[in-house]
Amino acid sequence: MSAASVTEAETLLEVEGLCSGYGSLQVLFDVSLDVRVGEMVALMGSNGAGKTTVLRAITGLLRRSAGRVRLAGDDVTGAPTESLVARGVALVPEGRGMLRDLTVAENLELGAYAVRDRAAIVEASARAYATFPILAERKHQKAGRLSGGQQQMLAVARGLMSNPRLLLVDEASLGLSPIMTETVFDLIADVRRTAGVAVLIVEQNAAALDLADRAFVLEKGQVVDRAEGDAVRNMQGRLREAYLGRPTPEIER
Amino acid sequence: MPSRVASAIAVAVAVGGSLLLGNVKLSILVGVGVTAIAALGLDVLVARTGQLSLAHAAFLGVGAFTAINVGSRGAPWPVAILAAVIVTSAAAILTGLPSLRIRGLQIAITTLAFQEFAEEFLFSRNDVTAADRTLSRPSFLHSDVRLYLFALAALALVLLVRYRLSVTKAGRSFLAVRDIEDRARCFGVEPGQSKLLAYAISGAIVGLAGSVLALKAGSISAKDPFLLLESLQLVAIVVVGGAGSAAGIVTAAVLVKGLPQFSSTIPLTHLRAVRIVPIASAALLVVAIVAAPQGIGGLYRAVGRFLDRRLGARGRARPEPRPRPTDAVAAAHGAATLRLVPRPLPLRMPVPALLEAREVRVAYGGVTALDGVSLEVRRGEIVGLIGANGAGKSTFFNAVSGLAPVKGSIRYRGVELVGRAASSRSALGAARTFQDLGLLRAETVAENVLLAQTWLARYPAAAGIVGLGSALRTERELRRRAGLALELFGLGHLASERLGDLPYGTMRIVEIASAVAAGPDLLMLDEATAGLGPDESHALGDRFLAVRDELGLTLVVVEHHVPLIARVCDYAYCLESGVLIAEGKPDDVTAQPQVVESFLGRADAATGRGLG
Repeated sequence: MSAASVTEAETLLEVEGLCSGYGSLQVLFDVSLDVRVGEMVALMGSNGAGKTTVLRAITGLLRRSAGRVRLAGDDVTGAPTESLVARGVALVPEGRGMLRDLTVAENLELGAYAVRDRAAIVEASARAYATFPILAERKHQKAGRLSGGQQQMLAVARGLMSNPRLLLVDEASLGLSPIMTETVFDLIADVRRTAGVAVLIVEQNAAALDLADRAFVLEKGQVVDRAEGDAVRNMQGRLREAYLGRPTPEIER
Repeated sequence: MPSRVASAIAVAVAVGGSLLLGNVKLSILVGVGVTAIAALGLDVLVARTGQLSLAHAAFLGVGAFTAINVGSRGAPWPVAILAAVIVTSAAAILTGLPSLRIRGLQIAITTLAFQEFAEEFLFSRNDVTAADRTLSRPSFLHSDVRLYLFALAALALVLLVRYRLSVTKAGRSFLAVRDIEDRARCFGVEPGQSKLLAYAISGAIVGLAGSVLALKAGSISAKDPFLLLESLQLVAIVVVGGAGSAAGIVTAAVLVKGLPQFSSTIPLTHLRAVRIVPIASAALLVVAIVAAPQGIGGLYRAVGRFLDRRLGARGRARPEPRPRPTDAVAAAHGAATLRLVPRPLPLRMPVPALLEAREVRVAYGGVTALDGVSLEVRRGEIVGLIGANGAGKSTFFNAVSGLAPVKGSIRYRGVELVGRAASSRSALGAARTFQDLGLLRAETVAENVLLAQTWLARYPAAAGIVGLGSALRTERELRRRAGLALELFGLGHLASERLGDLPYGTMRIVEIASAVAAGPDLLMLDEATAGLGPDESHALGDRFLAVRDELGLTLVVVEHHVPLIARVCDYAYCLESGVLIAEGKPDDVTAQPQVVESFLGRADAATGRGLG
């Protein structure tokens, strides 16, 4: 094998020229991005930029009209969503997608639906409770009774239950208080460090940039900007332009 | 455009075709018409309220026998029909009573009980079936062609009723009760009333079908057309036709009911010998459901969309799915008339507080969500309510809007709210939004804004269905208001978009616009900027100031975006674990150590949200 295969192995998710939409309406135009093994990538964009659509198209919940998706070098374009789960992809959906009438423990187990090995499920639960102690406390409460932040933690914990290689997180900060946003982001960063999970985090909240190794900016369904390393941290100013077309008013700073 | 052409063709075929067919075939067609009308009646329940009835064949029997009983005793035919409609409607309401407590499959089982009762008891009594009597047709219906045209007219009437239902408050309320029952009460929808009305309308339509059947048959001795199997067939017709699609259901009625009978008029002795027709139609049913889960109606819609694209008939370009930037103050000025709504209660405010909560306690099961919260909101203020997730902010809104069990006192304009029904509170002038969107995603933006104004639609629901001028005028006024409210938030261009197709943040702004359209004094917004980027959050802040200054609204906003709170709020309260831990000017509140610890986190977290 040549050097090329090494880079291929390092690239976990590769999205190339993705086009998608709803019915006759095209939302994504030639979107390309990639996530390397163990890396945290932020996909930034404003309301309506197409962020959620990207995740839906990657995971096969939405039909792609063009483009390729590769996972660890294998072409998974058009593969059914459940087969992606088996290959180590987990989605933490926007709005948390809790089953409100099931308990915390039951919701967690749902995340391990594709896992056959009972011992592995028990181990994954134990790990989740260790990472998110509040969930252990509320284990037997209905998920609908959790606060927004706790539901978001449960959603992330549930995503990790299948022991994924890649975690796709859609707007984890939605409706969270500043401190809870920080907590959830820190937990995601922790999980990534300790479990070596690659994370693609989709956000409007620029705080996500503090955690990311690389970032892409989506605008009207197109990738309009990308950055790597320290440039990510400097992206805030550029993003402001992209979102606002003007500097943020002093009062909002 | 294609749908109008298609309707015109359908009417032409239905009317013109009758002249070409013989009497036997016309008589079959009248039977198909009866089935179609009954299925359309069932569909009112299935599509609009999400409830399944297994008793509609029994209702058809109730209608037919009532018409025969009344008509054969010398009453003029319109009276017989009216009696059938009223009695069947009453039977349906009776059957629907349990729906006030239960829903889904359970309610289907209670309808099954009525079906059994009708089959075993009602229809085996001679005084009910009037087996010895005959309803003679009025002279103008003596020919089969005329009876057929009469059935068509009845069908047209039902289609008109269904249309009216979809454009007036009754239809909207049904959908809301189906999908968002609790939230709908905050719009002034009364779920119990809505459910029974749905049964009443459904029953009335089936009663009409029954009376057409009575006119056709004259007298009915066998109870075959009214058995459970027929009820199930009506359900099948609704499913194959596509719930909610009148054209699909009529087509399905022709296919399911008409084809087998027509085939029996054709001498296919060999084929019938091997019972090919029932087998073929069973197979066709399965194929149809698998190939078109949305039913025949779904196919029609797909064809319509295809033709639209092909004909390029002004191929409607989809508008930008985000709010359009407009001058907030000018827009609010234009929308100022939204406040001109009649209030059932006079203004009684000895103190300047518009909303005054005293020692409010809310406990769910063993969990205390609010523990003795006292706060007040003065008229014309924008008050921020901040606090950690789970602190009790949304619970406070639930307490004010009547969705949580409250101990303590909440006075609004000097009137005690505790103990008042949620559905009556919007009329007092308190409107709200929900953290996780309390609207109908499958409906258009405009339809949702109309729904939010239900308390303003004070005409009787029946007046809307009959199409009384006053009801239609009210609806026009509500539409005007909806337009104003949408313009106010830069959403005018999205009025006819399906809400669920919009970006999440935009849906949230639609919900705010809906709340404003209801003409409240007090607007309670739960996480108004969730899902919005910094630019849209900033623009929304401008709207808050504008609706306060130009429309004179008072606002309470639950918000995590601290810069926004600091910019627009006059006063702020901070909750933690159901208890108030701080209040005062926003800057003072967010500077308090306890607030920083429980809500803000790191000192720089205030700037964490968004880019501002």
